[in-house]
Amino acid sequence: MTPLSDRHRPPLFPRGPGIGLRAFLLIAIAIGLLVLQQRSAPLQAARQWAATALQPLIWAVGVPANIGDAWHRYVDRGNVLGENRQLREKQLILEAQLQKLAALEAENERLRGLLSSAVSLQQRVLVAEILTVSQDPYRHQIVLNKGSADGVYRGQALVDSFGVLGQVIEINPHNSVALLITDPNHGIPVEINRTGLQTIALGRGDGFGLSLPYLPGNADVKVGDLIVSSGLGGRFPAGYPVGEIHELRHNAGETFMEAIAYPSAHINQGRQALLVWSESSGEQLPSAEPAPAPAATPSSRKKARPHQ
Amino acid sequence: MILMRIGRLFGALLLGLLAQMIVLPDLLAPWRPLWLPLLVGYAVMSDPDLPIMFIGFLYGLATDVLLGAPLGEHALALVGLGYLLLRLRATLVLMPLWQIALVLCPVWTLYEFALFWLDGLARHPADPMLRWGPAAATTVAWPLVVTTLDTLRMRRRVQRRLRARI
Repeated sequence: MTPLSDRHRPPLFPRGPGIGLRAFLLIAIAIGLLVLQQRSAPLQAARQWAATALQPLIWAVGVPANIGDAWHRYVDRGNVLGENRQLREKQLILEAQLQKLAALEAENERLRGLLSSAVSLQQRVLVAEILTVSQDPYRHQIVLNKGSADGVYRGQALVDSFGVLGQVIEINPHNSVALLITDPNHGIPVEINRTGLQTIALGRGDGFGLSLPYLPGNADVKVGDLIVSSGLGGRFPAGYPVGEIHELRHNAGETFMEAIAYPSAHINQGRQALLVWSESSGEQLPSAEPAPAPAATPSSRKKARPHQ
Repeated sequence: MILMRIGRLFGALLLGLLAQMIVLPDLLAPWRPLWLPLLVGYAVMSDPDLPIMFIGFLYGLATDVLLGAPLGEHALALVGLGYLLLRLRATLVLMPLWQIALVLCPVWTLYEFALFWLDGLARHPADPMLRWGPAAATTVAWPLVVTTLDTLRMRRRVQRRLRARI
């Protein structure tokens, strides 16, 4: 016998509505709610209110799951400790590597400078590292770590973040030799930025000067004028700064006026240079060896192979 | 005294509602016993003087809100279940526990069918196969729940009588 019945004493004279009527009323209300809820806005509001009121219940229901998560976290603690140890060791190694950051940052700064000058001109470029600088005081050459394997071609222009550095005169599979604009064998077609006057800038061979020997005597040139590459001849891209006029020389009895300029590029400074593809690529250009006519200078006339 | 009993029923059904809502693993979820009908059934068997149908109605509404079901669906099913059990009570109390469990199995199935039917009316058809697992689980759970709650009630009654005698 079940103990369920030991408490109940049915009332001898029941009062109030019977269970049938009560059940009927409640079922009628439930059916009314089922029918009305789609159309009744107050019922929707009441439902939302009830949902808000029952929010603690939803929170309470989530408690076991949270406890389970906490337990899992506790169990995972061992793994986390091991991982932590590994990470500490890794961090030590990374910290050691980080010490190189200062040097890398400076290098990055220079590279960014190079890139920004190239981006502004929207040209194909390649960053090359300067491997060696010629020790011969009469030959201003540098060796780059990019060669024909990287698509470098003879006569390719070389710039840094401040201006034109020179051009490639010799290519090997994985390195190349460039002649700097200060080399006496080097000539570059330039224009005075202020007036657009076209001329040639030759290296003076002293390591830091350029000479513009073919200026007309009455040419509008002032000290401080910027000279930029003119792009004539197709070897150098146009618009790169080449130098700044430093001195004007009127030699008595001479038809031409000579200007002395200092190169804009930081020659013999920095470790990177930018190889620039000019509008007409190297394959279409004539070989760098024969110099175009205007590049002829007294010094280059003496030497066999001037480079424009 | 009656207020205390009503309060106890409220608390028990609140626990039942929590058990109904608690997140279970996917494998166990279709076999969750129908905790609210189970506790309503126990209340009908143990204390039929309480307004069980009305309290069941309120909890049914709360279940509807919490489960996102059409408002009134669980309320209607719980009121119907309470009415049916109150009608059957006079017969059921004469039976042993295991027989009551077997007799109640169709009642739980009926409860599930009512929900299935109301879901269909509300154009929210659920997989009907998922409806029968809880009915079976409730049948199995009935003897365990009744035994546990009876033990608790007996212990409390004995303590009360002892205290009254002292």
